[in-house]
Amino acid sequence: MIVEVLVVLAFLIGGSALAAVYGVRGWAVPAVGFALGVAVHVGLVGALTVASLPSPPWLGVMLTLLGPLAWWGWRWHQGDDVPVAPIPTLGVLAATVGLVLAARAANLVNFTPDSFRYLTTAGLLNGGRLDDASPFLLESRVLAVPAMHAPAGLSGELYLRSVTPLLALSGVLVLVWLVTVGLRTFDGPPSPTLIAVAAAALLVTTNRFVFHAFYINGHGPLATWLLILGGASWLAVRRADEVGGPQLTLLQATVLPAIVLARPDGGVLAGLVLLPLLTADGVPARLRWVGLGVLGLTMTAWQGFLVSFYRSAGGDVPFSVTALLLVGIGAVLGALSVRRLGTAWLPRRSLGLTELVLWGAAGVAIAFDPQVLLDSARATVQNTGWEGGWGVSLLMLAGLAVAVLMATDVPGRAVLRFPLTAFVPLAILLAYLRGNAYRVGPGDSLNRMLIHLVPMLILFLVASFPSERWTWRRSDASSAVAMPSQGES
Amino acid sequence: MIATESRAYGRGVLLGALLLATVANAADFPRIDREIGSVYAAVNRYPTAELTELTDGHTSVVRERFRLYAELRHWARGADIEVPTDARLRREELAGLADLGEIMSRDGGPRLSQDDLSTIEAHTVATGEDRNSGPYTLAVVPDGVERIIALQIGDRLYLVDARLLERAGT
Repeated sequence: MIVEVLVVLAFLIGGSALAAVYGVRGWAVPAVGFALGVAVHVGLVGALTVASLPSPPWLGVMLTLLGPLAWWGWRWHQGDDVPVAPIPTLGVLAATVGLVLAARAANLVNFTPDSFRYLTTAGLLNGGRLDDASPFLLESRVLAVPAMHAPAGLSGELYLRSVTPLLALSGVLVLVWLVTVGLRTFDGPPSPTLIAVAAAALLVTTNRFVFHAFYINGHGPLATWLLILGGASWLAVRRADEVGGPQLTLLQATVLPAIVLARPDGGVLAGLVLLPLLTADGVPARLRWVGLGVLGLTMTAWQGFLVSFYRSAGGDVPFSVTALLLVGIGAVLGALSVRRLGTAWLPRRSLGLTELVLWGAAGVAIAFDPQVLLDSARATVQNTGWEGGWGVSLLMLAGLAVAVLMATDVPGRAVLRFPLTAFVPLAILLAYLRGNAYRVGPGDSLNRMLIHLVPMLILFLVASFPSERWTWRRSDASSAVAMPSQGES
Repeated sequence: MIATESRAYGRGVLLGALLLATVANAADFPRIDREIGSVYAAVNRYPTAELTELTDGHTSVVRERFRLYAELRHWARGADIEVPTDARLRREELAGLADLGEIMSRDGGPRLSQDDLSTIEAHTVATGEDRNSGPYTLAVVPDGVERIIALQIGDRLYLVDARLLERAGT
C-alpha cells in the first residue's frame, strides 16, 4: 500500500511540476500533471530500455519525481512565474492519497487475457529480465502499461490498482481544462464552464469509457494522451498559447513518447493528430515540427530496438515493425524539412489528399479481398450498437459530429476533425494488415480502439460552440459574418 | 438580429443534444453491464489482487493460459526452475508472471519411481489444464521452495519441488 501511495504521489508531483513549468495554472496543474507524470515515467523507462540500460522501477519513479522538480526549482530560482499554492497543494495530495486508498480497497479492475500479457512484461521490467521476453510480446504489448504497473513489484504485487482509474480521471479533467481554456474568449451563452461540464458528463456516462477507466490495457491511457496531443493543437489554433498561456509544444513533446509506447498503433494515430498542424494557419512554427520530430525519433528508436530484438532472437523481422520504422524515419525527415523549409511548399489541401491516399490504399486492399471488409463492416455495425457495449453512445456521438460538421463552421477545426475522419480508412487498412476481419463482440480490437478517439470526438463537438453559422446551408453564413481563412476545416 | 437568434438557437440545440445524450448514456449504462457479461462489464470488483484468484474467477481462456503461472507465483515465487527442452512452458511467463528465478533448460530428466509419484501426489497443491503444456500437476512443500523440476511424463507436465524428489531418493 505504501509503495502504491508513494509511486502515485511521485507521478502526481513530478507531472504537476512539469505542468506548472509548461504554464498550466490553478486547479488544472494536478489534473494535467498526473497524465504528464505517468507519460514522463513511461518515456523514461522506454529510453532506458532502448538504450539497454538497467531500468528498475524505482529508478523511473525517482527520475519522474526529481527531474521535473529540479526543473521547476530552477525556474523558481530564476524568478519565473511557476506558482505553487501551499494549502491547495496539500489538499490535492491528501485527496490523492485518499483516492489511492479507496481504489485499493475497492479493487475495481477489468482484465482480459491481454491484461495478463501486459503484466507479464511488467514483471519482466520489474525483475530486470526483459531479455526473457519474446519479441512478439514487446511488439504487441509495447511498454507503457507494463511501465505503469512495474513499480507494484517493489512491494511484491502484480499491478497498481489506482493508476489506471486515476489516469482516466485525469483525462476527464484534461477535457474540462481544454474546453475552458480553448473557449475562454467565447462569450456564450452557454458559458465555457457549462460546456466543459456537459462534455465531461457525456464522457463519464459512456459505458465503454468507464470500462477502459479500470481496464489493464493501453486503450484508456492512450485516449488520455491523445486528447492532450490533439487538445494542444486545438488550443494553438484558438491562440490559447499567447502570452500567459500553456506551452503547447512542450505538452505535446511530453506525451508523444508515451503515445508511441502505449499501443502498436499509437505512433500512427499520433501522426494523424499532428498532421493538421502542418497546414493550420497561425500556429507557431516550432509547433509544426517539434512534435513530428519527437514522434519520429521515438518511433525510430522503439522500432529499431524491436528490429535488433527480433534479430538477436533469431527470428525474421515482421513487416509491421519495418513499416513503422520507416514511418518513424519519415517523420524525422519530415520534421527536419518543415524546420528548414517551413510549410509554404505543402499543398493547401494536404489533409484532403492524405485522406484520399488512405482511402485509395484501403480501396486497393478491398479490391483484393472484399470479404475482409464485408465481415469487418458487419461486425463493426453490430459492435457500435449493442454487441460492443457502446449502447447508444457511439451512434449519438457520430450523429452529432455529422450534424455539427454540416451546420457549423469553426476556423481551424480540422485539427480535431482530421484524426476522426482519417481513422475510418486507417481502421479498414489495419484489418487488412493484420490479415483478419474485425469480429463481433466487446473484445474485438477495433471495438476497443474506438475509445482512443472518443474524448477527442467530444472535444470536437464542443469546439463548435463558437461557430457563427448555425444553419444547414453554407451560403447563409456569409451574410451573418465573414469567416477568416483557416485552411481546411 | 436573425443571425444572432440563429446562433443562440443553434448553441441551445447543441447543448440540449449533449445533455440528452448524457441522459441516454446514463439510462443505458446498467442494461449494457447486465447484457455484456462480467468480463466486459464497465465495473468489476475483485475480492483480492492475488493472481491465482484473479485467474480462477475469470474465463476459461484466462485459466488455460495463465493459471499454471499464477500457481507457480503463489507457491514457488523466486525459485529456480529446470525445464526439459521439449516442455512447452512459456519462458516469458515463467520469468514475468510467475516471477521465478533462474530458468534452466536440460535434456531428459530424472525418471520417476512409484515412490516419487506417491510423494508427488501427497504434496500436490494444484492441478489443471494449460493451453500450451496440457494437463499439469504442481507439487511442493509449502514455504522455502528453492528449485522446481519440470518433468514431462506422458501427456502430463509435473512441476515438482526438488526437495520432494530428493526426499524420495530420485
